[in-house]
Amino acid sequence: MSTAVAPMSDVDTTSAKPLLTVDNLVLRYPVRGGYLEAVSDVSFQVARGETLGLVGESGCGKSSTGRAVMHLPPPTSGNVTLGGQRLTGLPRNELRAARRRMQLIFQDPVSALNPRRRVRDIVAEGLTIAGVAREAAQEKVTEMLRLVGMDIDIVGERRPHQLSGGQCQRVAIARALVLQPELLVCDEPVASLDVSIQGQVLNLLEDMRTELGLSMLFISHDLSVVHNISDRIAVMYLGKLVEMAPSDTVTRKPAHPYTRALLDAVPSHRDTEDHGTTLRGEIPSPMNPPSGCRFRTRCPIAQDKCATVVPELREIAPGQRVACHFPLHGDHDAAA
Amino acid sequence: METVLEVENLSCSIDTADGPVKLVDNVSFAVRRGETLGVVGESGSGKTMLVRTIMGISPKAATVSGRVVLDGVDVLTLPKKERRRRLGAGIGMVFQNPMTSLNPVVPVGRQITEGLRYHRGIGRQEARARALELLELVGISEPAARLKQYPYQLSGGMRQRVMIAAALACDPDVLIADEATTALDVTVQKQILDLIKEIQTSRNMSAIIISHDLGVVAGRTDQLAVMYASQVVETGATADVFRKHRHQYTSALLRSIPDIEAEIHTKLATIPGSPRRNTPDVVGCRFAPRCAAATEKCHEDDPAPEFSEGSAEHWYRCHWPTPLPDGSTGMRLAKAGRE
Ligand SMILES: Nc1ncnc2c1ncn2[C@@H]1O[C@H](COP(=O)(O)OP(=O)(O)O)[C@@H](O)[C@H]1O
Ligand SMILES: Nc1ncnc2c1ncn2[C@@H]1O[C@H](COP(=O)(O)OP(=O)(O)O)[C@@H](O)[C@H]1O
Ligand code: SF4
Ligand code: SF4
Ligand SMILES: [Mg+2]
Ligand SMILES: [Mg+2]
Repeated sequence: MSTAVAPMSDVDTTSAKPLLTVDNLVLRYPVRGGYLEAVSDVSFQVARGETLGLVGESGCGKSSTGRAVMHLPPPTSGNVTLGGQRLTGLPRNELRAARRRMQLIFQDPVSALNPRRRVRDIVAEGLTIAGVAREAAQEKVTEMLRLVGMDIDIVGERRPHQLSGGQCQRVAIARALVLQPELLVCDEPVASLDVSIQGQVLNLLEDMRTELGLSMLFISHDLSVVHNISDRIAVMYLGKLVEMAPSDTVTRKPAHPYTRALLDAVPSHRDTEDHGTTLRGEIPSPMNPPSGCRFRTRCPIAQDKCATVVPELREIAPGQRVACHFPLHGDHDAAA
Repeated sequence: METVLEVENLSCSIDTADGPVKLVDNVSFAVRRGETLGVVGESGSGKTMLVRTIMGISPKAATVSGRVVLDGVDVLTLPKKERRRRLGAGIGMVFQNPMTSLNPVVPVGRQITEGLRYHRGIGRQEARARALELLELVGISEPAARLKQYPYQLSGGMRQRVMIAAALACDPDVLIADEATTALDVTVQKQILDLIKEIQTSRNMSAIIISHDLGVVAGRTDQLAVMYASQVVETGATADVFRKHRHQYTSALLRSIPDIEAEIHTKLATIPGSPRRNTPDVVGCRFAPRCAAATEKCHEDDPAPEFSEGSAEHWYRCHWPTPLPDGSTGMRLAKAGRE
């Protein structure tokens, strides 16, 4: 397995097969005058018990990738394999059963929950649909709510609007995990929460991962958050992966100029006046991506070759893959 | 250095069925020429309401007290029209969502100079020239073409640049940016924050940067005010608030931010419960229900402002302040006693 993991991690690196394998994923949306390719030939794997972070600016295709993995909607092309089962091309009913093994958590916990239903019913919903008997379901719901730090006797009868944002996210997590998924796709799960609440939810997800042996695809625009929770990080730009490596490598020795720029833009909480270099321009429209390297219109070190030859994602160090003709070496050496 | 904007004991309260609720609770600060004040606090802590109260646009039913002194004049005592004129000319505003502040059916050029034409009564030609100049100043390429474009034709970052251009039109003494970069990507946020800094330096303009994100104000502001439940709970030089903070909330807030330099999978420090709002019945410290250091006293007595040792500017409201970096507790000095 090519997955390199940080030594501190408790990820199962011995099992031969990754839980999730994504090959050449493409997702196109039909739009007026053609299509928009939100995900362009993306491949990655997630090991059992591993968290893969996915970062990039808004509109780069993170959510589309998460949804294509879940087949909501199915990808335009490419393959998704979960625990040895190929999802792509499965008949509808089998796909539905397979989807239960993956659960999704969204950014806005309040609107993700049905406002008219009680917390206990929201969490039980998936179990009921799966045909789990009432008594057994109730027991599981109680236990799951306890795991996410909530007491069913206190919150069971409440409705989402009677809970805070952080509590709603706990309910959403309980609803997803009660179905015992193997893969949890988290799409900006803490983006709408106050920083004092963010940590509660991140710690909870981390506890759940270690306790239940979950794998996670953790999508966020916030590199500090992704660094904290992920074993590896994949960086996305305009529909493509540009770098993928163990978290510490991505944050300490980034090889792609875009990764470097993202890191420099993370607001430092250390009250220093050195803010590094600033990336120019904004992410171009995916309707008409630049030729060659898609980042070249903003890249501080772009050269002629970058306009004509598409850089492939290739391994430049053990576990570190980068799609750039002129990868950076070591710390802070981005040519300005 | 000369003080440009001074806010003194500013309060804004609104009557509810349960009694009056303070949306802005006795807030004081001063902004000197060319300096930047940061205001941080979680959502609902009263940051926007503070700005609205300063600008004289608090909710109709609200009662406002205190002073807002702009260039030596207490604007709250002025007749409405005069107040609007002074605030409009003296303070430029940039909000989080330019789509709601910009008129979708008016070309951006006209929107930039609307304030100018209203406040200064300049003509069309002059306004156009000024708009061009402003668009160039905020780093918009091909400004002549942009003048005729509508907001939806611009990217998020461009729209925020247009908002800044509009805010600068009247040459304000103070620029207030209320979560102005919150909806932007970090890369574009950095461009906008850099731009504000550049403009400030070249014009010796003051700014108030308001954000829920401590990272936005770190290293970019001179003074910092931390808000919780409609109050300023700690304020002082930004470096002091970051490194020698005394309030338990400031301390807990700083600790709860994930640190990109820490080991991966590090357990994050958290603050239990969720942010509270002021209610009519509030007694004691607003933060007491979530504070790890709270005692009975905290639940009963509202802590009065006290100066941090050795500083005439750094003060906090806390009965049990966190120790200084050297472990000492410092001398206690009531702020009221100094005034
Ligand atoms: N349903 C859709 N129809 C058409 N375009 C879409 C749709 N959803 C997303 N897009 C476009 O696809 C691109 C990627 O979007 P998204 O995956 O949401 O990015 P991210 O989650 O990284 O912000 C964007 O350009 C977005 O506008
Ligand atoms: N028009 C209004 N009438 C009454 N309360 C309001 C009004 N607008 C906002 N509030 C309340 O004032 C408090 C402060 O809100 P706000 O200033 O918007 O916070 P922030 O900008 O820090 O997120 C909140 O509790 C909010 O619910
Ligand atoms: S391939 Fe060229 S343009 Fe792309 S990131 Fe590398 S150096 Fe920059
Ligand atoms: S006054 Fe008491 S409750 Fe409030 S922050 Fe200080 S120690 Fe905590
Ligand atoms: Mg998204
Ligand atoms: Mg606000």
